[in-house]
Amino acid sequence: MNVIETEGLRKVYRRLRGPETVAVDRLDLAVPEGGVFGFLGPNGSGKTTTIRCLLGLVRPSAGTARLLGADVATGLPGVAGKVGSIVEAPALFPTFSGRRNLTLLGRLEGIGPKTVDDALERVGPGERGGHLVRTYSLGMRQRLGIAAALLKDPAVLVLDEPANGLDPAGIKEIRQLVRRLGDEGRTVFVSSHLLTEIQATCDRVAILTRGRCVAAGPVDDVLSAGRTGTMVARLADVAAGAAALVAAGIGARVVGDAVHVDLPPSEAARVSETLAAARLWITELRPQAVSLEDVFLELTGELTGEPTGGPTGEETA
Amino acid sequence: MRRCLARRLTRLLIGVAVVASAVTGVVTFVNTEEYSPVGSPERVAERAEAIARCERSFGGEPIDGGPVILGEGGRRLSPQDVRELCRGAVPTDLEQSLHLTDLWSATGDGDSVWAVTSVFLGIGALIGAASMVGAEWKAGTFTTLLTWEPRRVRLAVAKLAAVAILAAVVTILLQLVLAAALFPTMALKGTTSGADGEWLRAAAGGLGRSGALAGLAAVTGAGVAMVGRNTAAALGGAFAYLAVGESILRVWRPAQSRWLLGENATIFLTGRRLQGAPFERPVALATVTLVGYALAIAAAAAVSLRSRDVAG
Repeated sequence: MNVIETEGLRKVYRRLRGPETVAVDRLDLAVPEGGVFGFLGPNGSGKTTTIRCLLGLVRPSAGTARLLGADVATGLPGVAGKVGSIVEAPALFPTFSGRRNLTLLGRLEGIGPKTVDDALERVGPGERGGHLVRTYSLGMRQRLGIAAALLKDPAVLVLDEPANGLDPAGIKEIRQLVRRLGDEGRTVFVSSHLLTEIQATCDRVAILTRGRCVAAGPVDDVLSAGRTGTMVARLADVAAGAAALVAAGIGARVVGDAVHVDLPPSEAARVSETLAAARLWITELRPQAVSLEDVFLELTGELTGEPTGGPTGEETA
Repeated sequence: MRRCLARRLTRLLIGVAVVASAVTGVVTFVNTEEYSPVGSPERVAERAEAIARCERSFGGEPIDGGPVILGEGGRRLSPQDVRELCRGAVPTDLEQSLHLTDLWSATGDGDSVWAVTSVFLGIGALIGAASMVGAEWKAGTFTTLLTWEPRRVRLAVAKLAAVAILAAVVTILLQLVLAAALFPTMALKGTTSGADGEWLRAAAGGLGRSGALAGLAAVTGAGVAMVGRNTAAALGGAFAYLAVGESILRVWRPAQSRWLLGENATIFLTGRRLQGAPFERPVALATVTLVGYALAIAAAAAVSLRSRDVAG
């Protein structure tokens, strides 16, 4: 079952003056139940607008959005209790303490103080829960926002750029928390423009650019999509090694102090056998890593020169 | 309500009202003369002087050769007539002590203490409510609330009801604080004469209407702020209309001023028809008009919240 689905989702912002802005353009998205789903895209690609559409904050210009099987336009109140979210920076009352903020929100769903304390203890600012929110650091506010989102014990957690503005320690902390929440069986939908964050925490990913989804699926599949796969071999005489492989009909070339072999990792034994037959002994043989960054830049770069008619302009929300 | 009470502006407005009440209580106590049922000698002399001034304003002793004063039917006034006229015109009770009945006039006098303060408290309620809603839009907490309660009309109604109830309760409490601040003057220097059961009912009604008026003002302020998503828009719009718009309409179309907020609020608050107005407006109709305006603004706020994107 898909817990989040969009079909042909489109959002156009119209202004009294100036051109209209297409923030999301015919977006089809399917997020399966459980695990961490990364929603990756550069700034202004339509991530936040998509999330706002999913949470019923903005009305799509066209298309549909479904959350836990309910049409967002008509059935959101029925599922809102099972969805926790942070949209952009967590917006809480700065002159209330963290605990009081959560208590007030909890009352909307009949959630008692014990659950509030548990949430504060688990992910929130802990012993500083009694302090005013305006005294919190950005990281503490972010954690308080996640604590607020978790109060409902949600089946789906929608986090919009949860690591935004955090220092490396804070990013690591949030990353571990997101991973843990995904491992608990919840569906965590996390948007980010930080590639490393997505690669480190997500099981599946969708890459968005200019309001369109350009790739989606398990992270490994997206990374290897369209690639035959290559390996990197290290040995004492790289020139002789490359020559031996080519002589055996295997594509190979010297790059720096290594030999790049045009075979997928599943053919590692063949490479090893060929080099050993030539009495060349490899010291290292590994698949050539493809980073999400490479894929991301490749995919988002593909559309850079596209003629207009597709999505235009910057995300405004 | 807690959110509203926790706001610095709300606390400041309440604080100013409490301090002003305390200062008023002290100043009134110091400056008020003690009440004397028969009138102090100073007051008797003052009244005689006032009557003499009145007679002189008719040209002195109306003797032959003096100005001819004509009364009803063109009848020439005699000196006795002038004296009687002046005695009737100069109030018999010139003493200036403060009485319990001054808090609220059972006859609907718009100059009673609670009637005057109701105007200021209503303005305070409008400012406080508009500021609270505007600040919520600015801070983005509306977005957070909508992710918890997506039924926007319900959320708008809850917000408006909360500010209305809070404004009404705070107004009544502040009126009672003012009464408490003035009570030593009334008890020690004034009198409780006239404060019978009938007065008490009238005063309680006036207090309730004062609270209700503040509640309606709060709904108006919060509603406009919800539509404009901004405090300045609400306050600017409200004061431009009240200070300029209503003044122009009052002069331009006096007969239509029966629809204005100011006139209807005065009738509603005093519970009496407006004296000297170029129209007849029953209290019930004034009440319906005020409630109608507040409900129209609340409906506009709810529709605005329901139909517009929350994209910032």
